[in-house]
Amino acid sequence: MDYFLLPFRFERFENSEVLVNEVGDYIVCPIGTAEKIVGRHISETDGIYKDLISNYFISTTRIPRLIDNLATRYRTKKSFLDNFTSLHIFVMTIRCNQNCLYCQASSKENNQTTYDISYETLDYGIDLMFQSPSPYLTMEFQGGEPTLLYDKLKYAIEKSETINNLKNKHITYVICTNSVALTDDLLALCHNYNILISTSLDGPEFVHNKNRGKNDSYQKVITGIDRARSEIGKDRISALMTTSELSLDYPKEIVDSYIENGFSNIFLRALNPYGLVYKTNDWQNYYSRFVDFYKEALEYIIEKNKEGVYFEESFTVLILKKILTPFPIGFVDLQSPAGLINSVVVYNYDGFVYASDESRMLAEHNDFTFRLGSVKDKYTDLFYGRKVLEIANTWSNEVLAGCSDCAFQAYCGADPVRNYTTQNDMEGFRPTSAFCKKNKAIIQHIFSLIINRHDEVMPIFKNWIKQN
Amino acid sequence: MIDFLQIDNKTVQCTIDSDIFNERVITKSLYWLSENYNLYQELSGKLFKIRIELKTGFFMQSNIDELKSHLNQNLIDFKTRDIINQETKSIREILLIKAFANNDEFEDFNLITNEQI
Repeated sequence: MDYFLLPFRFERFENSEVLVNEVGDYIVCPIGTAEKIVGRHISETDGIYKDLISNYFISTTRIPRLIDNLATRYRTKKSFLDNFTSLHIFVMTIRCNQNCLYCQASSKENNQTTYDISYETLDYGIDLMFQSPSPYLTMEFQGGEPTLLYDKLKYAIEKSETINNLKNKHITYVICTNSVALTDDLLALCHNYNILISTSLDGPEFVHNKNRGKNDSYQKVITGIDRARSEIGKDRISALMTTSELSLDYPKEIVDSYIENGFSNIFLRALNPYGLVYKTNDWQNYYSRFVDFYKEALEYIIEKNKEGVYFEESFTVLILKKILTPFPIGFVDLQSPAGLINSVVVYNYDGFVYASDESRMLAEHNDFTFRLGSVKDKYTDLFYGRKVLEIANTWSNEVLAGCSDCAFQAYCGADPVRNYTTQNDMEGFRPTSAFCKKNKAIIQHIFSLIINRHDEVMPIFKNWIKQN
Repeated sequence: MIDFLQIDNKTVQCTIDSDIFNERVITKSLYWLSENYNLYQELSGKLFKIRIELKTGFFMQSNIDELKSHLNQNLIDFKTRDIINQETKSIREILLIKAFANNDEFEDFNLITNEQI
């Protein structure tokens, strides 16, 4: 048969082969189909022929008539690059009033003010933020616990508002807080500037309190969430959970606690190999157990939706959007080129600029590999300097060994910081990469649900995508 | 497709004809074995001799059969991927140029000329 190949990748799993083209469209077919396509053994009378033509896997002309369509779709998939850095994280302090067992930020005692950001660093950081070409800026305050520095939070927001009278950008403010000590002043600030609160809730009381190393944390967080909802609106506060070793045994209880506390979604988020927890965990075993935890929790969430409860799993939604829609997602961990620098940058309390949140976590262990420079440096030296060029060599999964041929490349991302942390080089080594194994297992599981339980899960999945 | 020879209880050697599988295909196939094995590759004439050494434990016959099957499958799949990559290299470049061009200069590519190729 006379046809031309277009770029695509394939992977076999279960009893099928999944073909995925350059823009993430997929076809599920019998094993051996890719070989047949390449060997020109597919004819016009084969059922799959028209699917292959219409989905840009093969073409009857050397250059497909609708190549501009395909190029536009490719550009759309990569459109997160258009505006460059939009998420600007300000690490206000690494002091904290909790004592989380898994703390990735290596937080310090509540009274050690040497770990606070200075007004000078805030000024320089805000100036750099406004030099970003992006018309949309998210200014996110992190810690430690950033609300310990209320005066500096207020200063940073008011200063940004003043500058923005001239710059006229769309700014979203986010405060990441554990919510245990939300004050009237802080909630008034949130109300006045339409600030989003991102808080942490690890599940039911016994899991949450154990993870926090406190006996009363859960009750304080729930009280804080309720107060914030009544002061600034229910949709202005979201919660994130972190899956500790303890959490792995309680997938259903964790989902139930989110539903009981009035949330309509949960992000089943694995521990990251940074901070206090890095040296103490058997990561291969942890991620293997995490995948089982994820599957069990997702199954439970699907059952809840079938019972009429609207409740999403956010990581699944991100993957589904990548598989089922033409649009990119704003989640920096699943981007290629990677989210660091391209989408996110960190102005740390220490007066330096880092390539990502995880990069500043490494710095707490005296590893400054991903430190781009001082907040006093020029924007161009920081964002287009030698360090960024070095990182850029490894920030696209299209060119990474093990990723370049992977069928799930379009749904995954590159993470040089994690590769460096866990495998000692930014390129990484996929056969032993826990990040690769975890993401591949989850993507395969989602594909398995779509293929084997299509009529049951697709109405739920489509509804989730529609709401996002 | 490939010849397997057990050297000792930790090591097997296989021979692969480079006329059938090129070095790129062989390297990519072996890459995914390197979690569990130390691999040594040597070109002798047109034959690649690959020594595969277990990092831990000892080979049972069932392990060797499984390894042989896995490597064979990898070689076939990576050869298929290699053909796709080679045949679509130019169209992929055109696609990326069109996708990221800053203006319309790459639009309306001369399709008639290309259809006649």
